[in-house]
Amino acid sequence: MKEIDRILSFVDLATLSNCSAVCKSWNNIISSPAFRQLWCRNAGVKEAPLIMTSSMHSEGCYTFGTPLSSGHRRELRLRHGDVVASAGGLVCIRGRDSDVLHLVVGNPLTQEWTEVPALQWEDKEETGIIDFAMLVDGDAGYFKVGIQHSEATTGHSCYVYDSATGAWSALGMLCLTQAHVQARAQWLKTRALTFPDMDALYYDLTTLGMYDIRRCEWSIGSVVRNLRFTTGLEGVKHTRCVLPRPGVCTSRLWEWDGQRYFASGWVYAGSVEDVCCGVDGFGIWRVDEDGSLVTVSAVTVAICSQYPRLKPIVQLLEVVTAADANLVCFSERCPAMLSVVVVYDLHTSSWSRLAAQRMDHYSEAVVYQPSLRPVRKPWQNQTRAFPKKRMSFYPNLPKRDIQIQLNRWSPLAAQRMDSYSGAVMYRPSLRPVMKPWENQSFLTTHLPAGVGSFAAPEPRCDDKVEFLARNDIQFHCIGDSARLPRPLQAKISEATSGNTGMKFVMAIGYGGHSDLVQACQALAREVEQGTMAVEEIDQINLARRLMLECWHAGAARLHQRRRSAAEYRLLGARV
Amino acid sequence: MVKVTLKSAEGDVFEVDEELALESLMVKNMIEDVGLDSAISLPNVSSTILAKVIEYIKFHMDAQKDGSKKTSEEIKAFDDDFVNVGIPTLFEMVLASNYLNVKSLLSLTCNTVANMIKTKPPAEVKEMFTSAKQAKA
Repeated sequence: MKEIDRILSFVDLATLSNCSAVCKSWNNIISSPAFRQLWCRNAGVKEAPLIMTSSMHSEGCYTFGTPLSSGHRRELRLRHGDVVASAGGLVCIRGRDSDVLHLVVGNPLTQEWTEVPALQWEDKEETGIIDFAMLVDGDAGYFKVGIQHSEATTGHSCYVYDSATGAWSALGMLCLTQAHVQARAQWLKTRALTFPDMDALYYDLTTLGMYDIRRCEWSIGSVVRNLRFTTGLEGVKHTRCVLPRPGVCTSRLWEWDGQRYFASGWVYAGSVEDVCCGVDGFGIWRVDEDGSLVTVSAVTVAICSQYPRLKPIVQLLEVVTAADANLVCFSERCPAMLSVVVVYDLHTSSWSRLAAQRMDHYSEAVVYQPSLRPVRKPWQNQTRAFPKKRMSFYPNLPKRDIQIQLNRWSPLAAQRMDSYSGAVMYRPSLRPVMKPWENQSFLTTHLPAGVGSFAAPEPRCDDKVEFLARNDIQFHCIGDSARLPRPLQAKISEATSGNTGMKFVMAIGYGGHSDLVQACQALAREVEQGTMAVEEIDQINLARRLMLECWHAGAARLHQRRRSAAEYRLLGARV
Repeated sequence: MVKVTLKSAEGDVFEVDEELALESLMVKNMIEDVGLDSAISLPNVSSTILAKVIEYIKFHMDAQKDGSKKTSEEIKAFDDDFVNVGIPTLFEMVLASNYLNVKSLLSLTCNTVANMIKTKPPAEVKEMFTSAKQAKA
């Protein structure tokens, strides 16, 4: 039936995975890119969340009906991979081919993938990774991938990759107390748990999506510390019931329908003979406003194992919790062939298990919400950080300085400060970046008004003017006398007006040519005014108009000529 | 009113209004190519199916007319009743609506089949389609 692709484009993703198992030709249709396009166009993305599992076999990574295409597998160097985290329609796949941590994030529907750059470890082993988490920024569409790393002796540290900045950052380390270290060593040795310090529980990647940017705190902190929950199970008497620590079971905190929920497996430690070595049950709690936990549902592993077709399971060793919207799934992370995936649906309030044949080879399961969301790369961040219309952006800057309120500290969000060592204060301004050769124009054009036009300084030559007056010295100025400050000129003329003694001639900006020019101008002016005829212009008349003439007036001989450069030389003018 | 003559696989002749026939893009193209003079032969559609398709188009055209008093519930009831047939007939209607290129009927029938597949495990789906194939043969 050749119209089968049309029919299949109307089914949802979960059914699609069933349909790919019907026969070979259907599988070929479903895995073809043309069908994927048709499906995306037809079914849209308004889909209920699903459980997505991954396989480790050589065929690569399979999702529900939408495998990572072989072309992408080659391109991304990803032959074996597991889905480790999912959020907002994107999934994170961890490659198993190499020793280093190889993460690929993408959208299985649109087959758009991107590689997460390698994390620079500091003497850390990849085997210490105990949890993955993912978060998608709803508005901008950037994703964050977080990993939690545990070391037996020191403590737990979180690393977060932000696709907006394209860098990894460390969220800080939670150091273990000595009691924890001992307990862990004992756990590794004997597989028997003791709980030395109930209150000093870890924080883990559940917090990734719950970082409160306004209050600047991890909102899980109070929840974990106030852990006073009961299992909600009748007849299960636990003397002490705690959340398992990393390495045994991870937990999740998420929001659905305006409520916050918390999911985790739990471990109990009874009497000494009753020590257990794994996860004994799963629970979902509602987080109230005050941080207290109200049991929504809880179930023990023993009850889980009552399902047919599966041999009873006493305990699960390592359990991974994943949650999104109304689905929570707990899956055992074990390298063995048989894994257990237990799902709770908040919508229908029912527990269920994934069918046995679906779980072979699968090590982890995540809750996947199909979406056509694009995979944002770091370099696409530019449009957000720097507006394209830069010039239209700057005029909107506030004119006044940003008031720094010193009475309030405001820490920046941790994940925004990826690998940056220091922060500086920046005050926006339109100041140009001046080069050395632009020095001149800077002085004239960019200094504030009033500075460029130099105000005449007050004459500081009072003693010298007094000297002129006291010694009866005549003062003459040739050249450009306007270069002397006007108050000084007035003072000098006042002090030397009636003097008859030695003649002091000061040449300021004097030149022979300019002297001739001004003498000619003076003659021409007189001719123009009619006080002199053209025929009267002769050597004597010209010489009288020269500034130099003042030297001769009444003076028998010149006593001394001195240049500012201290050279006994005159400008070739014969005097 | 101009009439269009359609000829089914068995050779039965259906006379329908031109307006109604134009709902099928395939028939519309045929009319543009060969005109209204000769009967349009539809060798892939049997008489029973063609009658049903015409019934469907007729109902929806009436419902879309301005003076129609049909509510959306009535239309939905008609659609539900229309596809409430055996699986072989339903499959033939998918084929016919795809061949005749009637968009609304194709999505209705495909959606119906998709809903039938939805809750079934792969083995049952396979059985369903195999039996439909045998019934057709």
